Amino acid sequence: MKRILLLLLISIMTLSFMLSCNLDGAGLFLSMSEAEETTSTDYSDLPVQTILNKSGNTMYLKMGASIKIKDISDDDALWDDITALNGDVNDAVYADSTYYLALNDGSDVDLYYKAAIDKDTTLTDLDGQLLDDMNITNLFTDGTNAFAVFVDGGNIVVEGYNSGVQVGAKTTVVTATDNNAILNSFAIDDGTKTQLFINIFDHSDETNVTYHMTLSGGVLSAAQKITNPDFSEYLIGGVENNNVVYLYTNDGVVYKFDAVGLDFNEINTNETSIFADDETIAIGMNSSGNSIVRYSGVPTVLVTETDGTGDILALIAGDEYLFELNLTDAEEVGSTITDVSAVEVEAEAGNYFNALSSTRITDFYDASGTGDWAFYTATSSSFVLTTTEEEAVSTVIP
Amino acid sequence: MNLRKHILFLALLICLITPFALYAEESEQTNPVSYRYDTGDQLFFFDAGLYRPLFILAPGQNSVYESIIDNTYLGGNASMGFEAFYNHQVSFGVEIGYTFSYAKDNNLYTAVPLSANVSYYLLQGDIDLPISLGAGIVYNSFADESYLSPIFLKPQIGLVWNFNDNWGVGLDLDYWFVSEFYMGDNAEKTTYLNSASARITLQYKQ
Repeated sequence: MKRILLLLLISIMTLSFMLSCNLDGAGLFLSMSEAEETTSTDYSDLPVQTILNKSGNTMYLKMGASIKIKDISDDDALWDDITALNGDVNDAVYADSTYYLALNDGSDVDLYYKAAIDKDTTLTDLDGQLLDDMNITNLFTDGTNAFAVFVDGGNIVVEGYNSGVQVGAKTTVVTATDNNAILNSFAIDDGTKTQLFINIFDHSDETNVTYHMTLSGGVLSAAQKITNPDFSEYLIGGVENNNVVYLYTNDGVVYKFDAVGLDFNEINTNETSIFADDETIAIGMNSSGNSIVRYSGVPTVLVTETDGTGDILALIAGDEYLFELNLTDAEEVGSTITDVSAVEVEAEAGNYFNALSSTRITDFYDASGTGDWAFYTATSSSFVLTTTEEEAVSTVIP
Repeated sequence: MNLRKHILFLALLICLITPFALYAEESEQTNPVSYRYDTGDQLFFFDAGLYRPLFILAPGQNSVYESIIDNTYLGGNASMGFEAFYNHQVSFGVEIGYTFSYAKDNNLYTAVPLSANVSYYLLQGDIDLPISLGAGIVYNSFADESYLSPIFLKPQIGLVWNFNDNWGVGLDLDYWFVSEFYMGDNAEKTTYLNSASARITLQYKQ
């Protein structure tokens, strides 16, 4: 009997040993040892939606339904809330030295702007109100201009602003119906004009429709429904490099976008998603209580490859992983698919991305834009990482 | 503390337990005692208490990660099991448990250990003083990772007051040694989690 038990024990241990030999992964115990406290000061438990701005050492976050401000050079400083806004901050962007806040006063969501904000900012201190009694659904920016999407007069419309002044005319995207929902919107400056993409989800037939507009010379163009290509899923974001715009869908298809002819040159195919393991990246607006996270395009940042090639990489934030898309190698239809495949950036103990292993990236903030891997990363786990170089361990801003 | 010091620490633990065993053996030879346990007796026990990760050995990196003690909170552990006596002083048994500890980033570490135990009773009677060694496997989970550890060693010392013929209550101090193996290019990520627990035990003799 004892021999049988002994043999059974040895068999179990042998089998478990075979099953437990790791080939990859971050290292469970090492991850525990590096699980630094992320709410040491005044972070709330809410996700960081957006890093709005960093001016000097002062960082501005949109977190939950509030704006948080801190001198990040002082580890002991607390994150200050703007407490006197008389409403939840549903959405916020920063563009051209101006903050735009979509404030929910309980009945509707109005759009305000202000050139400078601090913890003592009040509603009456805000420089102006751009939209009143409107339910602002989404704010987004091309880095210079801010755009608001909302329903007005039975239509889903877009308005643009620069330094608090309206740019162009309010423009209809599509007629609003009970079945229409604004999924996400994003804008990319291609060097000569701004390309706007507004994704509408139609509940009636559960399809996604993308509308395209441009802002050029202060004129907002009419919205154009994109019918070719018929995106199998929907556009989640894009990036510009050397005045070329690349767009990607949630199922990993990349397009090189020719704004002149509104042509979409498909670089890869559904069968060869740039996302490892054929991951599909979810995007959209997620509201739970006041834990509001809105995405205006999936977070993407450009960095320069550090292996000596100098290739330009787009780091694309997935639901679980970070993906690298080599833009230098990205060619048009007919090129070798492997040239444009993104690689999954794994979280490994001690490496730069390890702190991201159990969270989702909600925003990148790259103040320099030099591609030198020095940028900030906002997360769904209520903290912001600061990064100095690729191989260095990123640290949490306390 | 470097790797060598931690290995010395483990050796010291063994050295601390050894004199108890030698003393008990000697006193058994010089002072014949009556035994509370006979061959075939069984003990059922329920333990519950506190759990604390201490440090991680990473031989492939020649490193010791002590930051785990700063980056995790005091956790808890509960287990149940039974043991059967091979003779008056030696018993064999099995034990299954559940352990948890929150990390400072609010992720939860959980472990389900399953072990086979051998115990030697240095003292027994109204007061039992058993030392044990458990060996088995542990299913670990942390954040979005999970891992089945094939090597789990748990030396333990207990002190139990038997307040009647069947029931006893006492304290267990355990030391946990849990492996996490990596192969190939990642072999240097192989680590060993060292932790400790202190538990109240309630046991029933049948």
